[in-house]
Formats: sequence, C-alpha cells, structure tokens
Amino acid sequence: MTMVKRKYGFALGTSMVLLAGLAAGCSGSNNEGAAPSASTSESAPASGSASASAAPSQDLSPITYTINTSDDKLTWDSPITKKLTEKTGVSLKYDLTVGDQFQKWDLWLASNDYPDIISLDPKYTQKYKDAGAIIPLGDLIDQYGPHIKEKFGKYYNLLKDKDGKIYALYNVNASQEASPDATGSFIIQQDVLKEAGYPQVKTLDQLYELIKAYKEKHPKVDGKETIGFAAAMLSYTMNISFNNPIVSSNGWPDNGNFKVEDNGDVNYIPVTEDAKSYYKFLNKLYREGLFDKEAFSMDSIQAKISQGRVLAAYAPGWFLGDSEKALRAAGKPGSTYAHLPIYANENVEDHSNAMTPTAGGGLSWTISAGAKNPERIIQFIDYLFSDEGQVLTQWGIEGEDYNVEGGKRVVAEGLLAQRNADPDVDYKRGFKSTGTGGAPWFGIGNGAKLADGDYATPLTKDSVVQTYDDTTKETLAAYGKQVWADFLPQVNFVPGYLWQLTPPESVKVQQQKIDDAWRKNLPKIVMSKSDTEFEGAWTTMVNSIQKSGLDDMNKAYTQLWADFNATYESTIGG
Amino acid sequence: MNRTRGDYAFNTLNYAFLTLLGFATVFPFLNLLAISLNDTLDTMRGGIYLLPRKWTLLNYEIIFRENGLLMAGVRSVIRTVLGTVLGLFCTTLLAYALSRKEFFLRKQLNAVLVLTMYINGGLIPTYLLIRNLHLMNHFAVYILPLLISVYNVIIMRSYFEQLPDGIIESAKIDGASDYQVLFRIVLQISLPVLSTIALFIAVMHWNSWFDNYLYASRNQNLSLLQYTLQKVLIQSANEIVSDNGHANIQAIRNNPESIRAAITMVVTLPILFVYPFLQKYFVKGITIGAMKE
Repeated sequence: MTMVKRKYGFALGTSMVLLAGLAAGCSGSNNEGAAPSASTSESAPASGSASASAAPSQDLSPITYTINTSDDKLTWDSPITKKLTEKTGVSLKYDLTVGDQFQKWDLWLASNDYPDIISLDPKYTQKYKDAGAIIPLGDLIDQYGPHIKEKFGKYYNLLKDKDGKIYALYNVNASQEASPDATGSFIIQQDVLKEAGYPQVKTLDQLYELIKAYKEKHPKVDGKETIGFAAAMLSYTMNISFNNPIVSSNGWPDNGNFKVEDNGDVNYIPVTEDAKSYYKFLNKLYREGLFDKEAFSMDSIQAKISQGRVLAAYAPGWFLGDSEKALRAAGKPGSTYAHLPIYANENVEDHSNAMTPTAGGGLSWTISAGAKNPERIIQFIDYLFSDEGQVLTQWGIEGEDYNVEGGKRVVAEGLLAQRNADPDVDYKRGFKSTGTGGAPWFGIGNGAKLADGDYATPLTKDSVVQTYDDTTKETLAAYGKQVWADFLPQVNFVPGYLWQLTPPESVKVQQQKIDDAWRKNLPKIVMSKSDTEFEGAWTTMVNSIQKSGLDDMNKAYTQLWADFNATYESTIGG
Repeated sequence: MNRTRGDYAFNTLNYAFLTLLGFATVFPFLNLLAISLNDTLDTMRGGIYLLPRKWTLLNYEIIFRENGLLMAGVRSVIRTVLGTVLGLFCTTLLAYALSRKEFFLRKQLNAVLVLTMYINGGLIPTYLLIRNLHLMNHFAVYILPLLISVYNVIIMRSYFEQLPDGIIESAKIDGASDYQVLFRIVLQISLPVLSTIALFIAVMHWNSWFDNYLYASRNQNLSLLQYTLQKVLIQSANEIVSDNGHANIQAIRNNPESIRAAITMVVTLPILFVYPFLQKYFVKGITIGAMKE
C-alpha cells in the first residue's frame, strides 16, 4: 500500500515541478509586459483631449500608430519624420516582419493582432476586407482627405474596390513623362560603341554586327573568353532573359509572359512567331560562338558582367545590381553599359514605355478595424498628399536637404555628398517609407509638378546627369542625348499590366506545366546546330506547350484582362 | 610489423582519398571565409577560392554595426543556458517516470507523447495557443514551449530502462526515496545520456530563430543573435533591389553574398570551437539511445 502511494507521490511531484515552471513563466510575463519597451498595438496612446491645436479643424495632439514593414532600417527618429509629427501629431512605430511577410499577415489575421496601419498587397487586402479586419475609407477621405482627392483627380475612382468602397491607399502617378532615370533594357558595352564610332543601334541585326566585329578583335578579356551576348536561366531570371526581350524588342507594353492583341486576345509569348524570331537571333549568336555558353547553367549574370566580359545582354537596370559599380571600382568605366531600346526590325512601333496612372497592384496602406481615431490616419495621409507634405517627404527640409535658388528647389550639396558616401543617408534623413506601392511617402512621380510649377521630386534630368561618369557622358554626347531616358519613346498610359492582376486559379496547374515545358525545351532551340534542328526543337516545344493546356490558359487570361478593363472603364467613368 | 608493398599502396591511396575528402569538406568553409574577408565589389567579379583578393574587414564591420548585436548575443547565451538546464531537468524527470515499470500511467502517457511526434497543431493554432497563454513578446516563450522534446525523452527513457533493476531495488531496500534513487544513483551513472541530451537541447536553443520571429518580433529587447543576423542579411538583399529604384544613391552597398559569408563565420565559429570537446559524448550518446534490450 505504502509502495503505491509513494509512486503516486513521485508522479505527482514530477507534474508539480512542470506546473510550477509554467506558473512562474506566466507570472513573469506580467512583469515584462509592463515594461515600457513592450510594443504591441495596445500600447499606442489614445489621442486624448490633449493640448489645444494650432489649426482648429485638426487635432494635433501626439498619437502613435503602428505600421508593418519589412525594412529594418526605417526609423521615426529622423529630421523629416519628426517634422511630419510636428505637422500632424502622428508618429509611426514600425512593426518589423522579417522574412516571409505573407505568413505573418496570415497569423495576424487569424489572431486579430495587426498593426493600426497595415501595408498589404491586393490579395491580402481582399482577405482582410472579407474578414472585416480593415475599414472602408471613402467617408473619411470625403471628410478629411481633400489633398488625396486632388492628387488622384480623375483617377480617384480607381481606388475603389469591387464593392464600390475604398480600402487601400497607394501612389498616384501625376507625371506625364518617363522618369529621367528610366532606361532601355538592352545593354551594350560603351567601349564596343566607341570602337565602332558610335553608330546607330536600333535593330537586333545591327547589335549582332557590332558584337561580332568587336569579339573578333578582342577574343579575350583579362585572359577569359569574351561573351558576346549573355543570358541567365535561374528561376525567374529566365523571364528576363528569354521573355522580356521579346516584349521590348517588339515595342509592347510589359504584360509579363503574355501579349495582349489589339482585339483583346491574350497569348502566351514563348510560342508566338515573335518569340521564334527572337530565339532565331539567339541561335544565330550561338552558332557564331557569340552567345553565352553558360547561359543555361545556374550561374547569375552579375559575376560575368562584373568581370567586364559581357559585351551585350538584355538586362534592366535593377537586374545589373551593383555590377556596374564594381566595374567602375575596378577602373573599367568603358566596360559599363549603354542602356538602349533595340527592336526586332526597323518597323517596330514602340509602345513599351508605358505607365499606369496609379501604383495599384503593389503594396498599399490599409487601416485596421482596431485603429483608434482612424480619421487621424487619414489626416496624416492627406498631409503627405498635400504639396507641403510632398516637398517635405521628397525634397526634405529647406536649408538642410535642399535650397531654393532662383525660385527653384535644388538639392543641397551636402546631401549629394552624403549620398555618395553613405548608402543609408536616405534612411537617416527620413526619405524612406514603407509599402505605398511606388515612390516613398505617396510621392506623385518623378517629373510631376506641384502647384508652384516646380518639380515634385528632386530626380530630374540634371540630377541624373550628375550621377554619370565621364565615359557615360561622352557616349551620350556622341548620340546627342543627355540621359538614357532620352532614347525612350513617348510615354503612353495603360490602365494596368496583366502581371499586376491576381492570376486565375483555374489554370494554375496548366500554367506550371507550360512554364516547365518552356524551360525544358528552350535550351535545345537556342543551341541547335542547324536550321532543321532549330525547326524541329521549336515544333517539339510548341506541341508540348499546347498539350499542357495552352488554350485554356490563354482563354482564362483573356477573360481576366477583359474583366479588368471593363471595371477600369466603368470606374473611371463613374 | 612487416608491411608489404600492398599495404603501402593501400595506405597511400587511403590517405590520398581521405585528404581529398577532407579538403572537399573544408573547402566550402574556407571559401566562405575568404569571401567574408574580401572586398564586396571585388567579390562580385567571382573567382575567390581560398584567399581573399582585396582584404577588408568591412563585411564584419557591417554586421557588428547592427544595433544591439552584442545584447542579442548575450540573450542567446542566456536562453541557451537557461533552456538547457531547465529542459534537461524536466526531460530527466519525465523520462525517469516513464522508465519505471510500476508507474501506472506509463503506457497511456507514452502513447500520448508519441502521438505528439506525429501530429502537431500546425502553425496558426500553435500561434493562437502561445498568444492565449500570454507568452507573446515574453522571454518565457523561448523556454517553456521547448521544455520537453519527446524525442529526447525517448532517448533518455531507453537509457534508463536498460540500467539494471538491481541497482534501484537495492537502493530502495537501503531506504532511498524515489528522488534519492533518481538523483543519487541513476543520474550518477547516466552521464553520457545527460550530456548528449544537454548538447541536443543547447544546439537547438542556440540555432533557433523562428520562435523569435513568430512570437517575439515586436519586442526589440528580446531579439536573439540568429534573428538579428537574419535581419541584416535580408535587409542587405532587399536594399540591392530597392536602391536601383532610386538612382540617387551612388554609395556602394555591401552585397548580400559577402554579408552572408561573414554571418556564417560569426554564427558557426563559436559552435565550432566547442564541438571538439563535446563530440565524444555526442557520438556515444546517440548509440546509447539506440540500444534496446
């Protein structure tokens, strides 16, 4: 009897220890929770009836809102953000999501534990809306957002969701021209152009002649083989090397892997005749030994470029990363690139320089149902949209970040120097923000003008030229241009891009199969040794893609595009 | 000791092979070391193997410049020590109880525990549980949910089970209580399994960052070393892309490859130095756990 009792006692003892540990943990949590450092949304002080504010209509008492970001370096402790607080009373506290932010958004939604301002993409905006986690903003904007309405102008209705209400705010683009730092996406080494006497390069054939002649004279760069035309295949980079050049060289607006025909039909690009002729161009390069032999390996393009071995490629500016800086640092400015639009033939009409009226489709600001005094958030956003707010957030503080010379705003020398020395200076000054889709702090676009007739952002042709080195200036001068953007055609406005829309769920499987078939067959096409082999490989790919459900996918995307355009027409009219 | 020519040939080949194998294992690490000490723009050009081309400490500087890295390191150490001590204690108690045949709930409890190895709550339910326990943004979230790992309990239980019953019986006859038996007798002869489990738990605590990210990311004062370094890495990857949207910035950023290399050095070197001293227990412990009567 006693034996049994003792064993009971032991088991109980064990569980008591466990329980005690748990209890200790829980009670401990209360202590820490009270620490001032705890930063949950609950700790945001309510805007009380505090001090009388300067403007009678607006409450300027201090209030803190939380907002999510994936940018660890954002800080509210900066001159510009402090000024924002001074003007609106609002401070933002950043709630950092490192890594997989979608997972965090799901967890927040499941646990009703989100920041006051939630920066979400369109898909999650819908999820949050359906769960009632974010509030409609239309009435608040009517009451407190005159500047938001003014800046959006005729595009205001585009903000509206399918149900006619507004849930998310993002950038509007008030600029009528391409940003001065925009560039064409084909790149050619400036030395190649120089040696050929700066000829006009408008077509792929001209490009081919250029690199062929140059490689014959310079078969090696620093002891390694010169690469005539480079490309990459790793994951998404395949689209950049083997889909996007077809789009650009034919002058279409960028709709991802799809071409929108004049009649509204949407077609998968890699099986079109246009794709075939581009792959033929690559095949010609390959057979001449000019095409990158490692293009279909898992290498990235950046190392090759940094070595100065790549004469030409299709690579948008962001895709090059810092490799041009590396070339300059290595004392090879001639190996950096001219960024030009190049076309499949002489007759291409270029409509690729397209702009959308808003930054919808990216991240946007939504206001959570739990946020106290949501009108203060709208007032804050409204201030950002006002001309005063635009100047403050894009140009900075007068006398520190910019000066007014001859009635025009000019970026201060000090800031320019800092930008050359410290990559983080824009964080420290407060120019950076989070999740508004395009330019930070709801900027209205490079090249746009404010009511005072001056530019809304400091990024102008002159400021871009300042960042060029002498080699670049020389090349541009030879063509009679000031910036690379001068090579681009007129901007044309499109309602949006296909890739911004949520892909149709119904053809997800087909699309995956089709992309796989493309990836699998493409190397054979580009690397075929004869015309017959090329034709054979091409037919194999087209058949395999058709079998994978090409028609279904094209149909689904045609429908998606038609629906989007119908909505666009109706909202912009209404 | 007569060695034939065959022996020599075998030895030579053997050593050559082992040297090659050793090199193949060490090379990636040395390569990372070289990259971490090489100028970031130079690294982009590729071709760094065993030695840095343009020596620099800047990559490390960037990591150590991160605010609160030192404190994050201290917290990681505290977490590891505290988590290991408490975890080992609780694991021991549970494993011992389960190893005793006279424990009346033995079978049922075993079944429940094993069940949790196959079925878990999933991310969102677990998150909600932690939240409802008020463990969010609290240091205890690093310790309490990880006190018991069933895997460790099973290893330890198996070890206890194969101890001769006679030892325990004779101790009881001499009047020892259950606690005395456990702490005075059983644990004294279980050093190998204890050190193995301690090492398991310690490594798990040292490496873990996911609970920091999920449950404690809103409190900067709870950031651990791994999470802080993760932030530095992701940030550097994001910036390379975002900078190119803002042509103004001409200053050079360190590319993620260099930073990743430096971070790898910072997190692995401490463990690397401790490992040789614990390795003998490590290997022994696992085989002990695998033994079954």
